[in-house]
Amino acid sequence: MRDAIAKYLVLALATGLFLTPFPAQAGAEVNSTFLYSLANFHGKVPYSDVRVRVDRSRGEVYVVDRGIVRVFNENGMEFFWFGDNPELESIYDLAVDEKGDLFLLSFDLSHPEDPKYYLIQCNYRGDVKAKRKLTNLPAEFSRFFPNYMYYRDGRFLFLSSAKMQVVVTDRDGAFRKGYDLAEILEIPGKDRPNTEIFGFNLDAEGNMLFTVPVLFRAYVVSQEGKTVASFGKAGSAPGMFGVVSGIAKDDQGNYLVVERLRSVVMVFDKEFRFQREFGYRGDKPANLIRPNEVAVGNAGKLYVTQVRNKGVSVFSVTND
Amino acid sequence: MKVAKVTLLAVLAALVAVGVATTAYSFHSGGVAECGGCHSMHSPAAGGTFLLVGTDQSSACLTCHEHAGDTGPASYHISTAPGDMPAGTAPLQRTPGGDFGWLKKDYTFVVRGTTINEDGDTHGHNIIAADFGYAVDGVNAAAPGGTFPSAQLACNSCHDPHGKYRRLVGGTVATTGAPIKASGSYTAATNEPDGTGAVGVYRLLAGAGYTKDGITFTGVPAAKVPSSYNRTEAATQTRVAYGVATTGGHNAWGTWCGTCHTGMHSSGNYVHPIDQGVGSSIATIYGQYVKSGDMTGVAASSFSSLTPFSTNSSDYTVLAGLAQNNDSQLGGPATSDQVNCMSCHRAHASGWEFGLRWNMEGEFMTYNSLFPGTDTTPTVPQFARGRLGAETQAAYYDRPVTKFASYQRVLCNKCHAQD
Ligand code: HEC
Ligand code: HEC
Ligand code: HEC
Ligand code: HEC
Ligand code: HEC
Ligand code: HEC
Repeated sequence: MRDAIAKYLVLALATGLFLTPFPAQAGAEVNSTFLYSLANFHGKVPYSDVRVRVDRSRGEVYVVDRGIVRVFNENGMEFFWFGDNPELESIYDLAVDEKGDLFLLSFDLSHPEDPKYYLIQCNYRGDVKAKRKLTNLPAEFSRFFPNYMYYRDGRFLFLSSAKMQVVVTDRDGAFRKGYDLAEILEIPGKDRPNTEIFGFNLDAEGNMLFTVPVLFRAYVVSQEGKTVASFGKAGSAPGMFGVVSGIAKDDQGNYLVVERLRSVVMVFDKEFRFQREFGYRGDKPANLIRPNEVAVGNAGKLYVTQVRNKGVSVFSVTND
Repeated sequence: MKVAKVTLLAVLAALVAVGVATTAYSFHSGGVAECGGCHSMHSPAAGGTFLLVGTDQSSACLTCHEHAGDTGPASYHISTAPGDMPAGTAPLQRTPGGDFGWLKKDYTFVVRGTTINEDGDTHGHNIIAADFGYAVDGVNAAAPGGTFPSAQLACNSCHDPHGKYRRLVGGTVATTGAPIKASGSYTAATNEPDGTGAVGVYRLLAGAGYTKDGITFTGVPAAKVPSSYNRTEAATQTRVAYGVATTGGHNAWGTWCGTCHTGMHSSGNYVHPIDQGVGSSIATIYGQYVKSGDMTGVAASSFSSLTPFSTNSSDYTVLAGLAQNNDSQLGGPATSDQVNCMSCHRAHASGWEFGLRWNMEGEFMTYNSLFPGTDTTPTVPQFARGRLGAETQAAYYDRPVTKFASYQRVLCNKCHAQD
């Protein structure tokens, strides 16, 4: 079994290796255009390294920064904010359900020796409706402490990026399923402390997409806990992996992978063939400075976070 | 053309074979890492040097060593992103060297009508990493007691980015010789040199002949650390076993720091004794001292990671035995064990001025059995120093307040018992 997986990986790797450094021969051309930065009436919001979540059914964009949530409309203009209510604790992440209810992943770090986290349900204005803890966690997840949160089809998915663990719960925070991604990738015990996830997302089928920078690789793991694909090769030419972080799959089936070192977003097609990359370090609006996470919006929009107060840049990525 | 393709394929195939046979999970593994992790041969930073991909050397390192979204100590991270340590909260990493995030923590408070600013710059080594908001020290133009310019201070001022220094079988440190098979910092048998290869020096630190901006190191210091070192010390302590090795490409800890802080170390200068045996009376005090007013301790359980010392040994297996994080090795110093710079300072940064391991700025580290804070002890702002009680506790790596006396005095007393 192990061998079979290894072989499969080798094949995938070989294909990846052969194809990634070269632009695709056939297929649709991918275009990217810088649209704007998220802004309010004072101009661009000078964000650095924030969390962006898109509510695609309502076309709204939520940005979590140091416990404050700002809500932007489809054109990238802020129209609301919340987070100063102590009941909300320290907001770290956010997810929106079908009805438009907000769910916050919030921390209480006032006792450093005993940090706590909560799943807080709010209405769209950030008024608390319910505050829950995760329940029924089995022994192997008893020390689980998530730092990312996602919602899909009535389930929450929590990720601890450093431990490479995932917990899936029902709407009330009761444990349903857990994944040890380090085990799924067969990472030896001694290397686990130094192997972590820098970027994570779900695709439309519910597969988990994530990058592991020190392995110079991106992975696709199914809900059954199987590695269905992996791609990437260390290097610094276009399409190669330096320090990779954010990852997402867009509506056209492209995989978008952030490369922090070269400050680009790389686009791979559904067969993991490198298509193009954009951004590059610089001060022009379309440039990026050490990008980190990506979030997919409607109509080909892509939200990219970065540092140096360069804000959240919004691009349009389309196949034509 | 056809030939080229075939060759390329062959090369790639070879790469695949190698890659699968020796999947490297660690990045540096004690030596030089994947070049693409730090350099870009194709699109370096505009104005960047050496084709480094960050704007500066330290930004290149922090691309991995800081990650936004941390919730607590995370393996090899040595810096907390600003978004993860908003006002009123402390940086999250708890490594022996310390979290550079403390450099961004400015505290302002009022004592008897006077406003006092404790500038984050004073909390340690101000490495310059523009992408990550770290700027040159605002106070010291050069290393106090030396000439090293603050404007050049980077990770690679102290660490060899290429990790060329290696410890060979036999104990000598050199930049060439057997290939590096693993990190030499940790305690497993595989972290020691053997027939299959050498190991990296402790923390890839700069060794003999490493030259930067007018200073030249004369040897690497010896130490071992548990492989899980970035952790809360709420329950058990993380013990780095600093050693004393002065031959074969090694030098003592005080000498190593003294490379840039010459005047803080050279004999004849008024500084605290360094790299010298603690002697019998101080060894006895260390063993007995529990906290202010409590001298009932026993030497075998007296170690404190807030006042560590160098074990007088150059034998890495001895050091490995002492480097534990489960409180199984808490023996105090023998008379020949040494006080070194790390007895009082952290190498990177700390929650306190001068990168010290504890607060020297007031007479009490705790007050009325509480960690001083604007919330916990509002009547004594001179001890709270603009922090919340939880931030004070975090600066002591989350130890419970019961580890200290109800009115604990500065930890110089761990060796001097003047309290
Ligand atoms: C951990 C990050 C890192 C890695 C990995 C790395 N380098 Fe470097 N490299 C640096 C830094 C930082 C400098 C700048 C040194 C300075 O400013 O003096 C540098 C400088 C250089 C230089 C020019 C100056 C010198 O010291 O000789 C060369 C050549 C070089 N690197 C080659 C390589 C090669 C080849 C590899 C892969 C085998 C590699 N580097 C891997 C960080 C790295
Ligand atoms: C591509 C990601 C990456 C980059 C870039 C990077 N590091 Fe690291 N570093 C790691 C990882 C992962 C570890 C832990 C595993 C290991 O030691 O290989 C680590 C460990 C270390 C250690 C402890 C090693 C030991 O053996 O004790 C030091 C010191 C260090 N890094 C310094 C640096 C410096 C200095 C730079 C920049 C010149 C740098 N790193 C750049 C990923 C990175
Ligand atoms: C003034 C010298 C100095 C500078 C500058 C410095 N380091 Fe260190 N670093 C050390 C020493 C010494 C240690 C060992 C500390 C110990 O074990 O007590 C260390 C330890 C480490 C470790 C192991 C974890 C820890 O904190 O104990 C890592 C990783 C590391 N350094 C990375 C870096 C990076 C990345 C930078 C730049 C952002 C940097 N260092 C800048 C001296 C330095
Ligand atoms: C490569 C040169 C270099 C080495 C090696 C070095 N330092 Fe420094 N150190 C500096 C410079 C430059 C400054 C001044 C800039 C600053 O304070 O950030 C400084 C400042 C300091 C300060 C004052 C910090 C403050 O905020 O006022 C302390 C304390 C210190 N060093 C201790 C140490 C210790 C302990 C070691 C050994 C682990 C060490 N240094 C090794 C260059 C060095
Ligand atoms: C016994 C504890 C202790 C030891 C050991 C120690 N220091 Fe200090 N150091 C301090 C204290 C306390 C301060 C704060 C200033 C003061 O009170 O003199 C300080 C301040 C400093 C400063 C800042 C001076 C300034 O003018 O800003 C530097 C640099 C420094 N130490 C470097 C070192 C180096 C290098 C070593 C080892 C060679 C060392 N220290 C060993 C306690 C110690
Ligand atoms: C890890 C143990 C240790 C710690 C902590 C420590 N010292 Fe010392 N101290 C020593 C040793 C060892 C000596 C030399 C003993 C001797 O000669 O009797 C010494 C000597 C001294 C001396 C006499 C200096 C001389 O030249 O004879 C003074 C003053 C002093 N220490 C002050 C301090 C202060 C202030 C602090 C806290 C900032 C401190 N010590 C922390 C171990 C320590």
